[in-house]
Amino acid sequence: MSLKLRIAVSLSLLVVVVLQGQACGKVAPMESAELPSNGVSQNLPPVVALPEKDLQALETVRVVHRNEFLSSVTSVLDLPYSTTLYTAFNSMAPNLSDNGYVDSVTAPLMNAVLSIHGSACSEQLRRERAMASAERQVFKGFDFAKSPTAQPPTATSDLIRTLARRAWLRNETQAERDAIQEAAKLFDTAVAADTEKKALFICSAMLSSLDAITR
Amino acid sequence: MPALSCGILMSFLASSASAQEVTANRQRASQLYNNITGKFVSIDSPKVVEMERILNSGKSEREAAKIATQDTSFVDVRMMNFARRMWSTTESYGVINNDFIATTAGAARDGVDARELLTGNFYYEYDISDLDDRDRGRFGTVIREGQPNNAHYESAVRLGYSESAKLIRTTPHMVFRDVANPDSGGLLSTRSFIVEYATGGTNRRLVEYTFRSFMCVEMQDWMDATRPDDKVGRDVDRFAGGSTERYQTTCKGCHAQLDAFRPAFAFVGVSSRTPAVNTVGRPNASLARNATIFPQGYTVGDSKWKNYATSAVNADRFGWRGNVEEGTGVQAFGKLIGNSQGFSRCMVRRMFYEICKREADPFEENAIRNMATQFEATYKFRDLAEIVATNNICLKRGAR
Repeated sequence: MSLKLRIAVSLSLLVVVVLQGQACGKVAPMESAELPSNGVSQNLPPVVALPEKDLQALETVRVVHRNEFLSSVTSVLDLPYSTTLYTAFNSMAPNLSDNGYVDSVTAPLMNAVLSIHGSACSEQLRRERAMASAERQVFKGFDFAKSPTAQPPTATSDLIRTLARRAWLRNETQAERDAIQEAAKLFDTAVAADTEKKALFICSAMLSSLDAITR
Repeated sequence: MPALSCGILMSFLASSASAQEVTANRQRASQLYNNITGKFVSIDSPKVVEMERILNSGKSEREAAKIATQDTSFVDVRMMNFARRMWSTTESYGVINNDFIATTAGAARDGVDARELLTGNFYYEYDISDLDDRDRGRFGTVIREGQPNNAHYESAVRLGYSESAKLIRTTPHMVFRDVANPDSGGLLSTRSFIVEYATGGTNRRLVEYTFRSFMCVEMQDWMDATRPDDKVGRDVDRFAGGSTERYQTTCKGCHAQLDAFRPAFAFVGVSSRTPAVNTVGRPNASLARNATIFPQGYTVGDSKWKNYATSAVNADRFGWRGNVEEGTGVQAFGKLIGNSQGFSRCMVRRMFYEICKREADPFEENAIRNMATQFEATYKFRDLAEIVATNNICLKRGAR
């Protein structure tokens, strides 16, 4: 593995880690197998209206599970079903969460998530490379014939905004944008091929963050 | 100069951000769409924007939710997951596709009355008419349920078939040797249900898992040792451990009710991994297993069953309606279950779990019952999803 590739992988994971904090406050303790899984209890308890703060504590979050994963990836990127992506998904699917419980977030799961999103972003990038910039859905401002340092200044920020609205369902914050741009500077070379790597890096890192894989 | 460029860039980004600010109604529309369909889409997706427009116009959330329930993903993702978990013995999504799952999704797509899932003489298969003979063979020509394998349904997943586009309703249910099932109980007569729960046992699991899947109760939740035990089979030891106490306090709690329902499946069995129904009027041999343990026990002679789950607690739990005391055969048993309030509450609980991402808490029982009453207006799964997703207790406060 080349040094650059290793750095890329490390940084990609770093971004994932940086972004992992999001949404954790929404995790509620009741999402566990210890509760009665179904049925009415023996004695029906009286109905008591809970205070607002307790109701907010009921907000739960679930990691996207195996059976929702592929459709969500393709939907977020507007990718058609492809056997290439299905094969990549299938090889990693055993490491994805079966039920979406937050305690299923493990290192193998995050690796699988990153790997699948890497394949999906790569597939999208391959499709959009051949299109005129205006026709593209995701990698709009990039000129893949030019090096990263020769790209228009808005190319990266536009990509971040597009992916934030698609995968995080909101605009990115200033801090998030700065962090991603800073990490992506690793690819700012005079080599044209690095433009694709930079775009791929941002896409796979953002789609693999916790905010993008929780529901 | 670099500082100036940076400043210009930042101000551009700031103005760009404010221009694209996500409104509260857009967020709510996005949340409703994602929760109902089980599929993540961009906050700028045309369907989300349309839902936001409906909310902005002052119409109800239920109106906006209809956009999401009409989406193909509602069937392909949400209802398939709903059905997978309803099928699974461990309430898990990690199960292979089968006729039980596909039939549930197909019925949801077609707006079938949910009660028909327990009484109807139909199932769903994938349309493979566009394949040539060779590919059809490779797909698995299990287009009749009286077949020994599940290849048809597994192939559909492998090929990425969309349930919303490819499922077709087929009738009637078939059993071993390509005979039409004379007593079809919807999902209770699917190949997967019978093969899973009638293989190698005494047909009690068919009853137990009917209650688990469609009433959301495990056996220990509804056991009741006060019920009469005149229907308990000959294979149940009345002197377990040398005394009758254990039987009276524990064994009877389950067997009194289970064994009284069991005759509903008297003629149902499995032959060569294929559902079989004995059409000569003789109960399946599996119901007479280990008959020497207590020869004075009840012998199943026909498919007449009795409902002993009618004590005060279980009557409230299940909310029986109609003729609840007794019946004959699988379809009548399915009708008993489908007509009960317990069934509609269970469907609400299951949908609540899918959409609201958690089990309903005991203190929310009134809300569950209220939603169940609303569901009973149409018994359609699309309506159920809209009712649950727009209910106040489902993820409304502060959620993304």
